[in-house]
Amino acid sequence: MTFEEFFSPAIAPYAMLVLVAFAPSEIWRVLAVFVARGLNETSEFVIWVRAVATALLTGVVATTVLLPSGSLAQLPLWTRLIAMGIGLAAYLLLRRSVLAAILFGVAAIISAAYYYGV
Amino acid sequence: MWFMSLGFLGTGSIAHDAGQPLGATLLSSPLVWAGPAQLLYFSALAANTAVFAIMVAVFISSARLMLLSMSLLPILKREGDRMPMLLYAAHHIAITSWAESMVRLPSIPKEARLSYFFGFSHTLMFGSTLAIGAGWLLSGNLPSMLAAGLLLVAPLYFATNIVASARNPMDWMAIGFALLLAPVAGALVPAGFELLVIGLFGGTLAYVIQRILNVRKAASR
Repeated sequence: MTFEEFFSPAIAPYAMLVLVAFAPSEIWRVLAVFVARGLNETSEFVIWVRAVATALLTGVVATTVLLPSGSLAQLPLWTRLIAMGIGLAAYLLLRRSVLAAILFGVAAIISAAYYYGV
Repeated sequence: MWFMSLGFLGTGSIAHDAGQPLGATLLSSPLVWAGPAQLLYFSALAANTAVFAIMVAVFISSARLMLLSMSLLPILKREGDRMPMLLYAAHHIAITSWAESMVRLPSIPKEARLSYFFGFSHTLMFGSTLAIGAGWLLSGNLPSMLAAGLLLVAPLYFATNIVASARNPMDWMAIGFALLLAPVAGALVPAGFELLVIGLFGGTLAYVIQRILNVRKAASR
């Protein structure tokens, strides 16, 4: 039986959102609330989790650049690396402005997209 | 930080392609509150993937939320905060609000952290809801050049956050190992598991080395 048969067609997209997208995500946060009870920010476990989360966030950046999706995938790897480099350089040179990093990095990748006709 | 919402334009346009109503698309932001899970969900629906397979994929991709929440909740929680408040706070933890918290919260007094966190996470949630709706309405009219630019907003923002929040050698080692592991994981690990592998291996290695260095330092004193 499909969702559309079980729920009325008007309700199905919402029921599906709750059961298929919300529930399998939220369960991790609920688990964390129970595990993190009684932990404080200086405990060794929290320090380890912080290291893992830092590596994971770096992994998000690295995989977006190395294994991109959509129209970013049509550009050569070096253009994505250079655009990231330009963004980070702008951040460090322009008084740590996050907006500068985004503007310069995005302008660089849009220029590359224009050049490659993406 | 508002510009992180721009990433949701693309997800909104995919939700439209997947035949999802605007209401469900808008609701996905405050309800799911995990950009990659929303993108995965709508893309998989657009590709007619089996419902159970989508559920499993979302479950795997959201495992990082537990790590992010476990490291942030001890920083956020005040004396006497009860379970409903902690669950509500945890619901707002996703990669962007976590990264922003790691930069800003340590310098804020403990009592004020939760209010500060809700201030920007509610703003972020509102902005993302608007953006995913705008993406749904604009569907098909977004030039691919601009789409390429939008896809780079998140990695640029996260890169500056990583630099801003790294405060000790362990953080820098975690960053370095993750960068070294990323190409290996990308090639060897099944799709969807790369981030967990990079995080667990890179982070644990950094933690263990820092632990050994700390023990040596203590012993030489």
